[in-house]
Amino acid sequence: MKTYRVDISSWTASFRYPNLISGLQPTLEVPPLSTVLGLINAAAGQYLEHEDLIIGYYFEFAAKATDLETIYMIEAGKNGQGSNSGKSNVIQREFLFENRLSLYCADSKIIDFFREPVFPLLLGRSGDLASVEQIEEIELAEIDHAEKIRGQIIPLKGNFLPGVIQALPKYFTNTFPRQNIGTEPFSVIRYNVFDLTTKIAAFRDHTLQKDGVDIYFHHFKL
Amino acid sequence: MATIDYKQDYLTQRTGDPFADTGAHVIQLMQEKSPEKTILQLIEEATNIYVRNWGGGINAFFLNSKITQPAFLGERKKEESMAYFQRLLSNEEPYEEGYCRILGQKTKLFSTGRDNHILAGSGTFINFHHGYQEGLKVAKEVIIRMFFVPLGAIQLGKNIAVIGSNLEKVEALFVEDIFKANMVEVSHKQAKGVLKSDFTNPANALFEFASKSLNTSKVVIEEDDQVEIHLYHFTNFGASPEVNLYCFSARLFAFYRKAMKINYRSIWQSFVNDFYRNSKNSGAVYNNATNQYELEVKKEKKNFEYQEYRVWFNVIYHKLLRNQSILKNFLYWSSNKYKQQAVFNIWPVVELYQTQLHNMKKTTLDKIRQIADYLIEDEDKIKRRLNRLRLEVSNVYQLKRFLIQTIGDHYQEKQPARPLITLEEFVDDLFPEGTYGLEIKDLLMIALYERLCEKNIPVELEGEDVLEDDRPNFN
Repeated sequence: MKTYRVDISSWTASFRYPNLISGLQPTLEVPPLSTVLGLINAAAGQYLEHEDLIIGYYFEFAAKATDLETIYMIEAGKNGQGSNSGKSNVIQREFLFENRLSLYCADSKIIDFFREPVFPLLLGRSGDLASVEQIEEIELAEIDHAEKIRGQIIPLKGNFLPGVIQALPKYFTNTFPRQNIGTEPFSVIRYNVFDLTTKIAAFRDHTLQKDGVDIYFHHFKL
Repeated sequence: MATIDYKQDYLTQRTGDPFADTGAHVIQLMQEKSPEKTILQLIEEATNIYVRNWGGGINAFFLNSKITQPAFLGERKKEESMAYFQRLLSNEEPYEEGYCRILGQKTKLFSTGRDNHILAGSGTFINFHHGYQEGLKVAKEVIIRMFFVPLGAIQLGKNIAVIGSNLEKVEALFVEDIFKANMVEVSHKQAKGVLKSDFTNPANALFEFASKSLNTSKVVIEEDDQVEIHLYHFTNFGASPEVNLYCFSARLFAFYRKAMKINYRSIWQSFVNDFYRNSKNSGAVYNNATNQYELEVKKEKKNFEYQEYRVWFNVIYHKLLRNQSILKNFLYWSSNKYKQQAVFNIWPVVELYQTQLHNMKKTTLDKIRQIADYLIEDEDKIKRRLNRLRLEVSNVYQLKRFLIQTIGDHYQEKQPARPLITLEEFVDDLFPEGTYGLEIKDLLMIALYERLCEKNIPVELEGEDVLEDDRPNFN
């Protein structure tokens, strides 16, 4: 299959577990689909209504560490508005270091957004600035029973692959407040696991890792 | 009276959220026990346990809930709690339409905070939620699921543990065991609060659970099942809600499953048992013959059975869970066994460990064993060779020099048709690019110690091996 690949890198990244708020804020080891689609919107400079989007991605990092972070907590005022009253606190936040996100999409319109991104690209928080390393057209070989599934999220249902299991959103609405769409359980599979046995159809990118990585393509409709 | 059909999917379908799914398993178990009861009656049953049996002690789950609220005393906790769930079920609590963050369904959404959801953050501090919403917005079914979590969770040390797995049957097994233990205590009127684990650290608890899942007849783990287990160790109590995640990876599970099989089990267990430590009983040493730890205090001997020491800190479990190498531990264990001149057979376990968890080729391990066999062939040269390897080889360059010297010795002694190590084996098996390095030395030492014991060849060891802090206690 002919497709495009956009390689994005960043020094730091942090992808929160969407429903955990704690004094230690762990990071997912692969971003959810909603983060990747948000990244495309940032590059496009607009909210995109995806009628039929087929997209795959791979994420790897060099290290994971924990940092102390000051947070500011704003108290609720009347009518649900934020009050002027707030206080600071210190939490521990996990973050990923030396990150690479490879995005696969055959739609050249989506890819073109990354040639001149409108808004800054971020991998997590506002400080996790990312940049486009390269964009290229590549050929991926189809694999019926993917073994090298790594650095990706895979729908749990029907696959039940090992990894951190989390309910993750696929996208967010363009409303205020934003609402998550398409939340379902996923296996979050880090980049450095050994081969798995699966029945998943995927496409192998031989240029990733030592023996290649099988990329699963998510089919997303709004 | 408002109710909902708890057999419907939203209360029990898998969501991926470890807390919501634990609650769902508990609901299913209670429903199996009392199929005639409505969800509100099940909530009442759980409330009765929390209030009457546990004295409202679910603070680690819910802060200032109707049950943990200090202002509500005795039966008022139950009344307030039931009134809340009645309002929730009949949509009398404030709600808005939208997509549930956990179920993913478009439905009526209710606000959650630390009083009715685990680690949802405080509704007071609104900048933690989308668009300054007061708390996470979820379906009522999710709030109900959360309410049942205390019956399917266990206290591990100071915090609470919830288990998740990619395989639902494994996850359900953990919840079922805890739920049933809770029900037994309730029926005997012995229940005092959240069920307490004998363990205090997650590593031992996870290995115990993995062991249980392999030995129970309640679930069958097939050979090709890729099982991964996650332990969420958390508290929602007081000013410091926190969560730590521990992962028992699929690869580790596959290794452990094989290590617990008949051909490896006793040697693996004997190795692991040597590495328990306990600060209150420092100096206790493991006796492999009795499978007990022994401690002498003021000339009095104290023995600890497995049931006692299994909860002590174990560095092997600790390292395996953190994906850290235990090869050095194998080496020190072998070295000490050698000093005791005890015959041992750890190599199959080392081989299993290296192939399963470090992707080492079997041919590499076979070659190492073959080199070890050659090194001990000539009894006159063993001492010099062993001590040279132990004391003079401290980097990969020196190891390569040692092996090249060995190839030379082998050639001179035997004039063989085939060298001890071919160029291909040296490059591809022993030193493939960017891989093993000094691991090869450690493996060679383990193989040598084992073979020397097996052949009953005592060698005078010069100098001292450098031992790490996590060395085991030996008798």
